[in-house]
Amino acid sequence: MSLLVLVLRNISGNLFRSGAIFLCASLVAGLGLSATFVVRGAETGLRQNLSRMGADIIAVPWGTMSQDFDGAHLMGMMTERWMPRAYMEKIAAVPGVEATSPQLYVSTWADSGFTTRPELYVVAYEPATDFVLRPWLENDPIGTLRLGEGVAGAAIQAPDGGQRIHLYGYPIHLLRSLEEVGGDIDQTVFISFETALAILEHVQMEAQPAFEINPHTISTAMVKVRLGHSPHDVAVSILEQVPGVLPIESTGFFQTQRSQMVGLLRTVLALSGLTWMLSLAFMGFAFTLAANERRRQIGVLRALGATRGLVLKTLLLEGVVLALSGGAAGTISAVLSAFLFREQIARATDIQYTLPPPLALLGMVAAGLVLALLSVSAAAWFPASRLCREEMVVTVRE
Amino acid sequence: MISLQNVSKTYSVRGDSSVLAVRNLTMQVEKGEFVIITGRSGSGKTTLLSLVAGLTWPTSGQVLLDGIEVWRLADKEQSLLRNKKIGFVFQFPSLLPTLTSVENVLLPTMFGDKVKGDRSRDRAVMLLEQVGLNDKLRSYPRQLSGGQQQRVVIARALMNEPQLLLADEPTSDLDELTEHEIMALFRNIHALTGVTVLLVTHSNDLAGYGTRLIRMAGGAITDLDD
Ligand SMILES: Nc1ncnc2c1ncn2[C@@H]1O[C@H](COP(=O)(O)OP(=O)(O)OP(=O)(O)O)[C@@H](O)[C@H]1O
Ligand SMILES: [Mg+2]
Repeated sequence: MSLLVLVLRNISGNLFRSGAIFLCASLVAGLGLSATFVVRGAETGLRQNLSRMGADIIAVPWGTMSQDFDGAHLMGMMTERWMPRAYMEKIAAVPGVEATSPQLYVSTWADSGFTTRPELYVVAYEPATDFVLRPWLENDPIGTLRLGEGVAGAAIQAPDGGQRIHLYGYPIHLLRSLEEVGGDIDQTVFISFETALAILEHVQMEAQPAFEINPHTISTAMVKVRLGHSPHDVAVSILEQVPGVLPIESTGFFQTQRSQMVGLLRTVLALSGLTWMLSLAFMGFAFTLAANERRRQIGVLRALGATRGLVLKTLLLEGVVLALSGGAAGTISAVLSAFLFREQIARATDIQYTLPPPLALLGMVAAGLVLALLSVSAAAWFPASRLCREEMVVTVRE
Repeated sequence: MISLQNVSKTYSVRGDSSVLAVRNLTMQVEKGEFVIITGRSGSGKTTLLSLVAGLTWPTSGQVLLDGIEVWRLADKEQSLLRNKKIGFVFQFPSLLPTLTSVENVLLPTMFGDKVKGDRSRDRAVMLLEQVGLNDKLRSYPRQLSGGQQQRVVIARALMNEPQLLLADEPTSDLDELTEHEIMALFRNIHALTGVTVLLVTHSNDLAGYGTRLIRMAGGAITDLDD
């Protein structure tokens, strides 16, 4: 007869308590894992949503007519004011700023013929630093834009179903169309600064230039704020620290959503932490009960020649068996429920509840099991070791 | 084999009160003796057995088992010594409820380096047959009567061929007839194996089963009938 048999019999001998500890272990592992899924999913979702919402702040030259901004800061303002490109660095240095990307409003073209809308906008942006348009090209990202290449808003159509349009006589190859966003961006052609410069030079050669701008300026700096920083505070900092620049915050809608998300995440974390602590307390209680109940049995085992270490081992092994089996059950149900109900959960909570890739999943499962194991062991250790130190006659007595 | 010199044992109870369970006790037990210890409840009989087995330690005096102060040994050696040398029959039901008769009898083999494997199983079955439980090998304790349970405990106590059998009121929960059956069993075992027996009982009628009688009162040996 082996130690394990003894342990298994002890487990099956008190199904109720074993079941309760099993449940606790599965709760700890399962909830830990589910919480990780939720946090991961929320993070991904949050990142995508937020990125699609554009900039938190757009910084424009001081004196720009303040316009109403509703919705996303996806592109800068169509105003005839510019600021030196060097401002970008100053803005990037403001605490709380995560990323900046410049945009240059080049021109507005009425009745262009490439869109059914009355106007077509031409805007230069920097694909390398851009974080505003990229999410709208998610399925088909572009690395860089070469000279003469452009990205078109959803409402822009090249003639004859082709990809080539002419801006003020300058040919532009439209690499890609953005997903429909709704708003000005749909009727905008985005080009690189290099192409903008080329168009400017091209336009200057004409007798009556359609427009004139200094190509070494920008009209807008798109600003992304670090998660956890308040966009308002960052905007105030920009106002104070970068003279000549007017920061305009994105409307509250996205901030609300973001803080809701953060709140949800906090709740999930707090709830799973609470469950963990309650489980731990409960398991400690259950093991203390078990140890007391087995006081005599332990006395008997000791009298029959079991060492302290061996008795401790049987008590802990019992915990380990329950932790591993319960943890496995919790893990499996977490993975299964994530797999089966991901859509319902996503719909109910606005969180992309997706399973991570296999290797990451494996790591998380292992972590979940280890957590359950550590929790149960911790809960079992204290009463078991205390009992093993007692004078034996005490344990043999009622 | 057993030697106690001026042994006292005081239990400190919670608070500051203490109980003097064994009082300046001196006695010798030779190899092969069958000593019956009687005395009223609380007279210190169980404490005496615990002291002999080294399960508890004397507050003063010296307890020797084959010349060794067992309780002073390291836990490992103590355990091994108990496992090899001493068979226990407890005052309370001591079978593991989740193990069958055979498994309960096999329990001591888990902790020592004596017989193992098939041979130990054969011996367990043989012992159970010897105590008259051929048909209860696979029964669980709850399926056995009090007398049958005590027989399993006795078989378990004999599993590792001990030199000393410590029995603490092995018949306290049994009717008179069964009581005598069990005592007869002890006598047979003693006659058959020559094992030294220390058997506690509070029934004076059973004194005849042993080779010597010791009476205890108030933690000490007394010659008076109380
Ligand atoms: N672990 C202990 N802690 C405190 N007091 C104890 C402990 N064990 C025994 N005692 C006390 O020591 C005294 C002797 O107890 P012991 O169990 O040795 O008596 P006993 O002769 O075996 O009694 P019984 O016939 O009821 O089994 C009693 O007063 C008892 O209350
Ligand atoms: Mg007693």
